[in-house]
Amino acid sequence: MSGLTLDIRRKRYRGGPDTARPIIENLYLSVRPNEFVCLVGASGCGKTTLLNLVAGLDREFEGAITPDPAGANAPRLGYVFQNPRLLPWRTVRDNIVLALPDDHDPAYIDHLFEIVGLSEARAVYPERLSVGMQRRAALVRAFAINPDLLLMDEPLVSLDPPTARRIRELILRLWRERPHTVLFVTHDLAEAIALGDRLIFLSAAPATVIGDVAIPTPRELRDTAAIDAFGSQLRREHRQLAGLL
Amino acid sequence: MPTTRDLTIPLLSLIALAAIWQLAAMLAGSSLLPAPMAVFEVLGREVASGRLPHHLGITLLRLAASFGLSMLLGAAIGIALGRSPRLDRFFDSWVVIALNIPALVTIILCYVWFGLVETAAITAVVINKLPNVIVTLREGTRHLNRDLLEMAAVYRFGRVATLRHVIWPQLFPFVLAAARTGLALIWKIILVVELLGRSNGMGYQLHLYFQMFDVAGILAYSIAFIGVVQLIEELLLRPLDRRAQRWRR
Repeated sequence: MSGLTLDIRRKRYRGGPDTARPIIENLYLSVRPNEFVCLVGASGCGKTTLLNLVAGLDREFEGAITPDPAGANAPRLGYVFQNPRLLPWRTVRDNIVLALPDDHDPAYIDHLFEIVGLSEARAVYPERLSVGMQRRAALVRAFAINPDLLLMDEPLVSLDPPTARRIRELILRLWRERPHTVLFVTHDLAEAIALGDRLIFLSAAPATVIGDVAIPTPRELRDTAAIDAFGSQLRREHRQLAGLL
Repeated sequence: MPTTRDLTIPLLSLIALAAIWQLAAMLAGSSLLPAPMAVFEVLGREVASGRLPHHLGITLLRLAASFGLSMLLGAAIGIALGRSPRLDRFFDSWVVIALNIPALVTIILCYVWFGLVETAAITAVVINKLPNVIVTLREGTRHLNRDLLEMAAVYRFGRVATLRHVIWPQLFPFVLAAARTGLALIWKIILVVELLGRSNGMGYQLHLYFQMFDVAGILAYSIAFIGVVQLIEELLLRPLDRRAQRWRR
Protein backbone atom coordinates (compact mmCIF):
# COMPACT_ATOMS: atom_id res chain seq x y z
CA MET A 1 0.00 0.00 0.00
CA SER A 2 1.59 3.20 -1.06
CA GLY A 3 0.02 6.54 -1.66
CA LEU A 4 2.07 9.30 -3.19
CA THR A 5 2.32 13.04 -2.76
CA LEU A 6 4.20 15.20 -5.23
CA ASP A 7 4.97 18.78 -4.34
CA ILE A 8 7.36 20.02 -6.97
CA ARG A 9 8.00 23.73 -6.78
CA ARG A 10 10.53 23.95 -9.57
CA LYS A 11 12.56 21.68 -11.82
CA ARG A 12 14.91 23.00 -14.41
CA TYR A 13 17.76 21.46 -16.39
CA ARG A 14 21.17 22.92 -15.88
CA GLY A 15 23.32 23.61 -18.86
CA GLY A 16 20.56 23.12 -21.41
CA PRO A 17 19.81 25.68 -24.11
CA ASP A 18 16.83 26.86 -22.08
CA THR A 19 18.38 27.10 -18.64
CA ALA A 20 16.27 29.90 -17.31
CA ARG A 21 12.87 28.33 -17.97
CA PRO A 22 11.76 25.57 -15.62
CA ILE A 23 10.26 22.42 -17.13
CA ILE A 24 8.01 21.81 -14.10
CA GLU A 25 6.69 24.50 -11.78
CA ASN A 26 4.30 24.39 -8.79
CA LEU A 27 3.04 20.91 -9.54
CA TYR A 28 1.06 19.46 -6.67
CA LEU A 29 -0.54 16.03 -6.85
CA SER A 30 -1.79 13.61 -4.23
CA VAL A 31 -2.47 9.99 -5.23
CA ARG A 32 -4.38 7.49 -3.08
CA PRO A 33 -3.02 3.98 -2.51
CA ASN A 34 -3.81 1.65 -5.44
CA GLU A 35 -5.19 4.47 -7.52
CA PHE A 36 -4.69 4.29 -11.30
CA VAL A 37 -3.82 7.83 -12.38
CA CYS A 38 -3.30 8.84 -15.99
CA LEU A 39 -1.16 11.89 -16.65
CA VAL A 40 -2.19 13.54 -19.91
CA GLY A 41 -0.17 16.27 -21.58
CA ALA A 42 1.32 17.31 -24.89
CA SER A 43 4.69 15.78 -25.75
CA GLY A 44 7.62 17.73 -24.41
CA CYS A 45 5.66 19.10 -21.47
CA GLY A 46 7.82 17.36 -18.87
CA LYS A 47 5.92 14.13 -18.22
CA THR A 48 8.99 11.90 -18.49
CA THR A 49 10.94 14.36 -16.34
CA LEU A 50 8.19 14.06 -13.73
CA LEU A 51 8.35 10.27 -13.72
CA ASN A 52 12.14 10.38 -13.38
CA LEU A 53 11.72 12.60 -10.32
CA VAL A 54 9.21 10.16 -8.82
CA ALA A 55 11.56 7.26 -9.58
CA GLY A 56 14.41 9.03 -7.81
CA LEU A 57 16.56 8.99 -10.97
CA ASP A 58 16.76 12.78 -10.97
CA ARG A 59 17.28 14.42 -7.60
CA GLU A 60 17.92 18.00 -8.67
CA PHE A 61 14.66 19.81 -8.05
CA GLU A 62 13.03 22.07 -5.49
CA GLY A 63 10.20 20.47 -3.58
CA ALA A 64 9.38 17.14 -2.02
CA ILE A 65 8.10 13.71 -2.97
CA THR A 66 6.58 11.52 -0.24
CA PRO A 67 7.48 8.79 0.35
CA ASP A 68 11.01 9.79 -0.59
CA PRO A 69 12.14 7.55 -3.50
CA ALA A 70 15.64 7.33 -2.01
CA GLY A 71 14.50 6.96 1.58
CA ALA A 72 14.35 3.86 3.73
CA ASN A 73 10.62 3.29 3.25
CA ALA A 74 10.69 3.99 -0.48
CA PRO A 75 7.97 2.12 -2.37
CA ARG A 76 8.99 -0.89 -4.39
CA LEU A 77 9.11 0.59 -7.84
CA GLY A 78 8.25 -0.73 -11.27
CA TYR A 79 9.07 1.52 -14.20
CA VAL A 80 8.03 0.83 -17.78
CA PHE A 81 10.17 3.21 -19.77
CA GLN A 82 9.22 4.65 -23.13
CA ASN A 83 11.72 2.28 -24.77
CA PRO A 84 11.93 -1.26 -23.42
CA ARG A 85 15.44 -0.94 -21.93
CA LEU A 86 16.24 -4.64 -21.89
CA LEU A 87 19.85 -5.81 -21.65
CA PRO A 88 20.52 -7.08 -25.18
CA TRP A 89 23.21 -9.52 -23.96
CA ARG A 90 20.91 -11.32 -21.55
CA THR A 91 17.96 -13.50 -22.49
CA VAL A 92 14.45 -12.22 -21.90
CA ARG A 93 14.07 -14.38 -18.81
CA ASP A 94 17.43 -13.33 -17.38
CA ASN A 95 16.45 -9.71 -17.93
CA ILE A 96 13.44 -10.20 -15.69
CA VAL A 97 15.15 -12.38 -13.09
CA LEU A 98 17.98 -9.84 -12.70
CA ALA A 99 15.46 -7.25 -11.55
CA LEU A 100 14.02 -9.57 -8.90
CA PRO A 101 15.10 -10.36 -5.36
CA ASP A 102 16.69 -13.78 -4.89
CA ASP A 103 13.65 -15.22 -3.13
CA HIS A 104 11.22 -14.54 -6.00
CA ASP A 105 8.61 -17.05 -7.05
CA PRO A 106 9.55 -18.54 -10.47
CA ALA A 107 6.01 -19.80 -10.98
CA TYR A 108 4.66 -16.25 -10.88
CA ILE A 109 7.17 -15.16 -13.55
CA ASP A 110 6.07 -18.01 -15.79
CA HIS A 111 2.47 -17.03 -15.13
CA LEU A 112 3.25 -13.48 -16.28
CA PHE A 113 5.04 -14.72 -19.41
CA GLU A 114 1.98 -16.82 -20.08
CA ILE A 115 -0.45 -13.88 -19.87
CA VAL A 116 1.62 -11.61 -22.11
CA GLY A 117 2.15 -14.46 -24.58
CA LEU A 118 5.93 -14.59 -24.28
CA SER A 119 6.30 -18.13 -22.94
CA GLU A 120 8.03 -19.21 -26.15
CA ALA A 121 10.43 -16.27 -26.16
CA ARG A 122 11.85 -16.64 -22.66
CA ALA A 123 15.22 -18.04 -23.76
CA VAL A 124 15.67 -15.59 -26.64
CA TYR A 125 17.90 -12.52 -26.76
CA PRO A 126 15.78 -9.33 -26.86
CA GLU A 127 17.14 -8.01 -30.15
CA ARG A 128 15.68 -11.03 -31.92
CA LEU A 129 12.17 -10.01 -30.84
CA SER A 130 9.84 -7.41 -32.33
CA VAL A 131 9.51 -4.10 -30.50
CA GLY A 132 6.02 -5.11 -29.38
CA MET A 133 7.36 -8.26 -27.77
CA GLN A 134 10.19 -6.31 -26.14
CA ARG A 135 7.63 -3.94 -24.67
CA ARG A 136 5.68 -6.86 -23.28
CA ALA A 137 8.88 -8.23 -21.72
CA ALA A 138 9.46 -4.82 -20.12
CA LEU A 139 5.92 -4.97 -18.74
CA VAL A 140 6.58 -8.42 -17.27
CA ARG A 141 9.68 -7.04 -15.57
CA ALA A 142 7.73 -4.17 -14.03
CA PHE A 143 4.93 -6.44 -12.81
CA ALA A 144 7.21 -9.28 -11.72
CA ILE A 145 8.77 -7.28 -8.91
CA ASN A 146 5.28 -6.92 -7.47
CA PRO A 147 5.53 -3.13 -7.24
CA ASP A 148 3.88 -0.81 -4.73
CA LEU A 149 4.16 1.95 -7.28
CA LEU A 150 4.19 1.43 -11.03
CA LEU A 151 5.33 4.17 -13.41
CA MET A 152 4.50 3.79 -17.07
CA ASP A 153 5.81 6.20 -19.67
CA GLU A 154 3.73 5.87 -22.85
CA PRO A 155 4.24 2.10 -22.90
CA LEU A 156 1.89 1.68 -25.88
CA VAL A 157 3.32 4.30 -28.19
CA SER A 158 4.27 3.07 -31.69
CA LEU A 159 2.37 -0.20 -31.30
CA ASP A 160 -0.27 -1.18 -33.85
CA PRO A 161 -3.84 -0.70 -32.55
CA PRO A 162 -4.70 -4.39 -31.92
CA THR A 163 -1.46 -4.98 -29.99
CA ALA A 164 -1.95 -1.74 -28.08
CA ARG A 165 -5.48 -2.82 -27.12
CA ARG A 166 -4.26 -6.25 -26.00
CA ILE A 167 -1.52 -4.75 -23.86
CA ARG A 168 -3.98 -2.24 -22.39
CA GLU A 169 -6.22 -5.09 -21.29
CA LEU A 170 -3.18 -6.84 -19.95
CA ILE A 171 -2.13 -3.87 -17.84
CA LEU A 172 -5.59 -3.74 -16.27
CA ARG A 173 -5.66 -7.48 -15.71
CA LEU A 174 -2.30 -7.49 -13.95
CA TRP A 175 -3.25 -4.40 -11.95
CA ARG A 176 -6.45 -6.10 -10.75
CA GLU A 177 -4.56 -9.29 -9.89
CA ARG A 178 -2.21 -7.41 -7.60
CA PRO A 179 -3.38 -3.85 -6.97
CA HIS A 180 -0.79 -1.10 -6.75
CA THR A 181 -0.56 2.64 -7.33
CA VAL A 182 -0.09 3.55 -10.99
CA LEU A 183 1.13 6.69 -12.72
CA PHE A 184 0.46 6.20 -16.41
CA VAL A 185 1.79 8.87 -18.74
CA THR A 186 0.19 9.32 -22.15
CA HIS A 187 -0.73 11.96 -24.70
CA ASP A 188 -3.64 9.84 -25.96
CA LEU A 189 -6.88 10.90 -24.25
CA ALA A 190 -8.88 7.82 -25.30
CA GLU A 191 -6.20 5.55 -23.86
CA ALA A 192 -6.23 7.50 -20.61
CA ILE A 193 -10.04 7.32 -20.34
CA ALA A 194 -9.97 3.58 -21.02
CA LEU A 195 -7.45 2.89 -18.26
CA GLY A 196 -7.58 5.41 -15.42
CA ASP A 197 -9.49 5.99 -12.22
CA ARG A 198 -8.55 9.59 -12.57
CA LEU A 199 -7.11 11.90 -15.21
CA ILE A 200 -4.56 14.58 -14.44
CA PHE A 201 -4.01 17.12 -17.20
CA LEU A 202 -0.66 18.85 -17.41
CA SER A 203 0.02 22.19 -19.08
CA ALA A 204 2.75 22.78 -21.61
CA ALA A 205 6.17 23.43 -20.02
CA PRO A 206 6.55 24.50 -17.30
CA ALA A 207 4.23 21.64 -16.39
CA THR A 208 1.60 22.16 -13.73
CA VAL A 209 -1.74 20.49 -13.05
CA ILE A 210 -4.52 22.21 -15.01
CA GLY A 211 -7.23 19.59 -14.70
CA ASP A 212 -8.10 16.76 -12.29
CA VAL A 213 -11.03 14.61 -13.39
CA ALA A 214 -12.30 11.34 -11.85
CA ILE A 215 -13.83 8.79 -14.22
CA PRO A 216 -16.94 7.36 -12.56
CA THR A 217 -17.81 4.87 -15.33
CA PRO A 218 -16.81 1.28 -14.43
CA ARG A 219 -14.07 -0.02 -16.74
CA GLU A 220 -16.23 -2.84 -18.13
CA LEU A 221 -18.61 -0.23 -19.57
CA ARG A 222 -15.92 1.85 -21.24
CA ASP A 223 -16.41 0.86 -24.87
CA THR A 224 -15.47 3.16 -27.76
CA ALA A 225 -18.80 5.01 -27.61
CA ALA A 226 -18.56 5.60 -23.86
CA ILE A 227 -14.97 6.80 -24.20
CA ASP A 228 -15.96 9.23 -26.98
CA ALA A 229 -18.90 10.49 -24.95
CA PHE A 230 -16.68 11.07 -21.91
CA GLY A 231 -14.21 12.90 -24.12
CA SER A 232 -16.82 15.30 -25.46
CA GLN A 233 -18.20 15.83 -21.98
CA LEU A 234 -14.68 16.84 -20.89
CA ARG A 235 -14.47 19.28 -23.77
CA ARG A 236 -17.78 20.92 -22.78
CA GLU A 237 -17.12 21.13 -19.08
CA HIS A 238 -13.43 21.96 -18.96
CA ARG A 239 -12.69 24.88 -21.24
CA GLN A 240 -9.21 25.30 -19.77
CA LEU A 241 -8.19 21.96 -21.32
CA ALA A 242 -9.06 23.07 -24.85
CA GLY A 243 -5.45 22.84 -26.01
CA LEU A 244 -5.10 19.24 -24.83
CA LEU A 245 -8.38 17.77 -26.00
CA MET B 1 29.59 -19.34 -38.04
CA PRO B 2 30.40 -22.80 -39.50
CA THR B 3 32.79 -24.90 -37.42
CA THR B 4 35.03 -25.88 -40.34
CA ARG B 5 36.04 -22.95 -42.47
CA ASP B 6 37.00 -23.38 -46.10
CA LEU B 7 40.79 -23.30 -46.05
CA THR B 8 41.42 -23.69 -49.79
CA ILE B 9 42.05 -20.04 -50.58
CA PRO B 10 44.24 -19.20 -47.56
CA LEU B 11 46.25 -22.34 -48.22
CA LEU B 12 46.72 -21.52 -51.90
CA SER B 13 47.81 -18.00 -51.02
CA LEU B 14 50.42 -19.32 -48.56
CA ILE B 15 51.77 -21.69 -51.21
CA ALA B 16 51.96 -18.80 -53.66
CA LEU B 17 53.90 -16.76 -51.11
CA ALA B 18 56.35 -19.61 -50.56
CA ALA B 19 56.76 -20.00 -54.33
CA ILE B 20 57.59 -16.31 -54.78
CA TRP B 21 60.06 -16.58 -51.92
CA GLN B 22 61.66 -19.66 -53.48
CA LEU B 23 61.93 -17.93 -56.84
CA ALA B 24 63.46 -14.80 -55.31
CA ALA B 25 65.96 -16.93 -53.38
CA MET B 26 66.96 -18.79 -56.54
CA LEU B 27 67.42 -15.52 -58.46
CA ALA B 28 69.42 -13.95 -55.64
CA GLY B 29 71.57 -17.03 -55.09
CA SER B 30 72.96 -15.59 -51.87
CA SER B 31 73.07 -16.71 -48.24
CA LEU B 32 71.48 -13.33 -47.44
CA LEU B 33 68.21 -14.59 -48.88
CA PRO B 34 67.95 -18.30 -48.04
CA ALA B 35 65.28 -20.50 -49.64
CA PRO B 36 62.25 -21.59 -47.59
CA MET B 37 63.58 -25.11 -47.05
CA ALA B 38 66.85 -23.82 -45.61
CA VAL B 39 64.97 -21.63 -43.18
CA PHE B 40 62.74 -24.48 -42.06
CA GLU B 41 65.83 -26.63 -41.53
CA VAL B 42 67.23 -24.00 -39.17
CA LEU B 43 63.86 -23.76 -37.49
CA GLY B 44 63.78 -27.53 -36.91
CA ARG B 45 67.31 -27.53 -35.58
CA GLU B 46 66.67 -24.64 -33.17
CA VAL B 47 63.47 -26.27 -31.88
CA ALA B 48 65.21 -29.63 -31.41
CA SER B 49 68.13 -28.08 -29.56
CA GLY B 50 65.68 -26.41 -27.19
CA ARG B 51 67.16 -22.97 -27.82
CA LEU B 52 64.14 -21.57 -29.61
CA PRO B 53 61.54 -22.85 -27.08
CA HIS B 54 63.70 -21.43 -24.28
CA HIS B 55 63.97 -17.92 -25.71
CA LEU B 56 60.41 -17.94 -27.00
CA GLY B 57 59.19 -18.99 -23.55
CA ILE B 58 61.04 -16.14 -21.86
CA THR B 59 59.65 -13.62 -24.32
CA LEU B 60 56.15 -15.03 -23.81
CA LEU B 61 56.51 -14.66 -20.04
CA ARG B 62 57.55 -11.04 -20.43
CA LEU B 63 54.69 -10.55 -22.82
CA ALA B 64 52.15 -12.02 -20.40
CA ALA B 65 53.43 -9.94 -17.49
CA SER B 66 53.53 -6.63 -19.33
CA PHE B 67 50.27 -7.31 -21.16
CA GLY B 68 48.44 -8.20 -17.95
CA LEU B 69 49.79 -5.21 -16.08
CA SER B 70 49.04 -2.70 -18.79
CA MET B 71 45.52 -4.05 -19.35
CA LEU B 72 44.66 -3.91 -15.64
CA LEU B 73 46.19 -0.49 -15.01
CA GLY B 74 44.95 0.94 -18.29
CA ALA B 75 41.40 -0.30 -17.73
CA ALA B 76 41.30 1.14 -14.21
CA ILE B 77 42.61 4.53 -15.32
CA GLY B 78 40.52 4.57 -18.51
CA ILE B 79 37.30 3.80 -16.65
CA ALA B 80 38.07 6.44 -14.04
CA LEU B 81 38.71 9.07 -16.72
CA GLY B 82 35.62 8.04 -18.66
CA ARG B 83 33.43 8.43 -15.60
CA SER B 84 34.76 11.75 -14.36
CA PRO B 85 34.91 14.63 -16.86
CA ARG B 86 36.91 16.72 -14.38
CA LEU B 87 39.60 14.10 -13.96
CA ASP B 88 39.63 13.64 -17.71
CA ARG B 89 40.09 17.36 -18.37
CA PHE B 90 43.09 17.39 -16.05
CA PHE B 91 44.79 14.22 -17.26
CA ASP B 92 43.92 14.42 -20.93
CA SER B 93 47.13 16.24 -21.85
CA TRP B 94 49.16 13.65 -19.91
CA VAL B 95 47.57 10.90 -21.95
CA VAL B 96 48.28 12.75 -25.19
CA ILE B 97 51.93 13.21 -24.23
CA ALA B 98 52.24 9.56 -23.20
CA LEU B 99 50.71 8.47 -26.52
CA ASN B 100 53.35 10.40 -28.43
CA ILE B 101 56.52 9.45 -26.58
CA PRO B 102 58.55 7.28 -28.97
CA ALA B 103 58.82 3.70 -27.72
CA LEU B 104 62.60 3.84 -27.99
CA VAL B 105 62.78 6.83 -25.64
CA THR B 106 60.85 5.09 -22.85
CA ILE B 107 62.95 1.97 -23.27
CA ILE B 108 66.23 3.87 -23.06
CA LEU B 109 65.08 5.96 -20.12
CA CYS B 110 63.84 2.90 -18.21
CA TYR B 111 67.20 1.19 -18.65
CA VAL B 112 69.08 4.36 -17.71
CA TRP B 113 67.00 4.98 -14.60
CA PHE B 114 66.39 1.44 -13.35
CA GLY B 115 69.44 -0.35 -14.77
CA LEU B 116 69.52 -3.31 -17.16
CA VAL B 117 67.08 -5.38 -15.10
CA GLU B 118 63.87 -7.28 -15.70
CA THR B 119 61.74 -4.64 -13.96
CA ALA B 120 63.02 -1.98 -16.32
CA ALA B 121 62.18 -4.14 -19.33
CA ILE B 122 58.63 -4.84 -18.18
CA THR B 123 58.07 -1.22 -17.11
CA ALA B 124 59.19 0.03 -20.51
CA VAL B 125 56.70 -2.20 -22.31
CA VAL B 126 53.87 -1.32 -19.92
CA ILE B 127 54.48 2.42 -20.35
CA ASN B 128 54.36 2.03 -24.09
CA LYS B 129 51.12 0.10 -24.07
CA LEU B 130 49.29 1.88 -21.24
CA PRO B 131 48.07 5.07 -22.98
CA ASN B 132 46.54 2.99 -25.75
CA VAL B 133 44.48 0.96 -23.27
CA ILE B 134 43.49 4.09 -21.35
CA VAL B 135 42.18 5.82 -24.46
CA THR B 136 40.19 2.78 -25.62
CA LEU B 137 38.57 2.09 -22.26
CA ARG B 138 37.89 5.78 -21.66
CA GLU B 139 35.99 5.81 -24.94
CA GLY B 140 34.05 2.71 -23.93
CA THR B 141 33.15 4.15 -20.55
CA ARG B 142 31.97 7.41 -22.08
CA HIS B 143 29.60 5.47 -24.30
CA LEU B 144 27.97 3.44 -21.55
CA ASN B 145 24.24 3.41 -22.16
CA ARG B 146 22.56 5.76 -19.67
CA ASP B 147 19.13 4.25 -20.25
CA LEU B 148 20.31 0.86 -19.08
CA LEU B 149 22.14 2.31 -16.08
CA GLU B 150 18.94 4.09 -15.05
CA MET B 151 17.00 0.87 -15.49
CA ALA B 152 19.48 -0.93 -13.22
CA ALA B 153 19.12 1.83 -10.63
CA VAL B 154 15.31 1.72 -10.67
CA TYR B 155 15.25 -2.07 -10.33
CA ARG B 156 17.90 -1.94 -7.59
CA PHE B 157 20.46 -4.19 -9.22
CA GLY B 158 23.12 -3.11 -6.72
CA ARG B 159 26.77 -2.39 -7.48
CA VAL B 160 28.00 -5.88 -8.27
CA ALA B 161 25.14 -6.92 -10.53
CA THR B 162 25.23 -3.57 -12.34
CA LEU B 163 28.94 -4.00 -13.00
CA ARG B 164 28.59 -7.60 -14.09
CA HIS B 165 25.41 -7.48 -16.16
CA VAL B 166 25.13 -3.88 -17.35
CA ILE B 167 28.60 -2.31 -17.51
CA TRP B 168 30.96 -5.20 -18.25
CA PRO B 169 29.12 -6.46 -21.37
CA GLN B 170 29.29 -2.95 -22.78
CA LEU B 171 33.00 -2.55 -22.02
CA PHE B 172 33.98 -6.01 -23.21
CA PRO B 173 34.28 -5.15 -26.93
CA PHE B 174 36.53 -2.24 -25.98
CA VAL B 175 38.65 -4.48 -23.76
CA LEU B 176 38.96 -6.91 -26.64
CA ALA B 177 39.94 -4.13 -29.05
CA ALA B 178 42.56 -2.91 -26.58
CA ALA B 179 43.85 -6.46 -26.20
CA ARG B 180 44.15 -6.93 -29.97
CA THR B 181 45.96 -3.72 -30.77
CA GLY B 182 47.91 -4.06 -27.54
CA LEU B 183 49.20 -7.49 -28.34
CA ALA B 184 50.39 -6.39 -31.75
CA LEU B 185 52.13 -3.39 -30.20
CA ILE B 186 53.75 -5.31 -27.35
CA TRP B 187 55.08 -8.01 -29.67
CA LYS B 188 57.02 -5.38 -31.55
CA ILE B 189 58.26 -3.37 -28.60
CA ILE B 190 59.27 -6.32 -26.47
CA LEU B 191 61.85 -7.39 -29.07
CA VAL B 192 63.48 -3.97 -29.02
CA VAL B 193 63.52 -4.06 -25.22
CA GLU B 194 65.26 -7.43 -25.27
CA LEU B 195 67.65 -6.37 -27.95
CA LEU B 196 68.77 -3.33 -25.99
CA GLY B 197 69.12 -4.63 -22.49
CA ARG B 198 68.44 -8.34 -21.92
CA SER B 199 70.62 -11.40 -22.37
CA ASN B 200 67.83 -13.76 -23.35
CA GLY B 201 64.54 -13.79 -25.26
CA MET B 202 63.67 -13.56 -28.93
CA GLY B 203 65.01 -10.04 -29.29
CA TYR B 204 68.37 -11.08 -27.89
CA GLN B 205 68.56 -14.05 -30.28
CA LEU B 206 67.66 -11.88 -33.27
CA HIS B 207 70.38 -9.46 -32.25
CA LEU B 208 72.85 -12.34 -32.13
CA TYR B 209 71.92 -13.53 -35.62
CA PHE B 210 72.09 -9.97 -36.89
CA GLN B 211 75.69 -9.67 -35.69
CA MET B 212 76.50 -12.91 -37.51
CA PHE B 213 74.52 -11.84 -40.57
CA ASP B 214 72.64 -15.16 -40.28
CA VAL B 215 69.48 -14.37 -42.24
CA ALA B 216 68.20 -17.96 -42.10
CA GLY B 217 68.26 -17.79 -38.30
CA ILE B 218 66.47 -14.45 -38.27
CA LEU B 219 63.76 -15.76 -40.59
CA ALA B 220 63.39 -19.01 -38.63
CA TYR B 221 62.79 -17.12 -35.39
CA SER B 222 60.38 -14.76 -37.15
CA ILE B 223 58.33 -17.67 -38.46
CA ALA B 224 58.09 -19.21 -35.00
CA PHE B 225 56.99 -15.84 -33.73
CA ILE B 226 54.30 -15.34 -36.36
CA GLY B 227 53.00 -18.81 -35.65
CA VAL B 228 52.58 -18.12 -31.94
CA VAL B 229 50.79 -14.82 -32.60
CA GLN B 230 48.38 -16.58 -34.93
CA LEU B 231 47.73 -19.27 -32.34
CA ILE B 232 46.87 -16.67 -29.69
CA GLU B 233 44.54 -14.96 -32.13
CA GLU B 234 42.79 -18.16 -33.18
CA LEU B 235 42.62 -19.94 -29.84
CA LEU B 236 42.02 -17.02 -27.51
CA LEU B 237 40.88 -13.77 -29.05
CA ARG B 238 38.58 -15.08 -31.76
CA PRO B 239 36.55 -17.37 -29.47
CA LEU B 240 36.22 -14.51 -26.97
CA ASP B 241 35.05 -12.25 -29.75
CA ARG B 242 32.44 -14.76 -30.92
CA ARG B 243 31.23 -15.21 -27.36
CA ALA B 244 30.77 -11.48 -26.96
CA GLN B 245 28.79 -11.30 -30.21
CA ARG B 246 26.45 -14.21 -29.73
CA TRP B 247 23.45 -12.16 -28.57
CA ARG B 248 23.45 -9.95 -31.65
CA ARG B 249 20.91 -10.41 -34.38
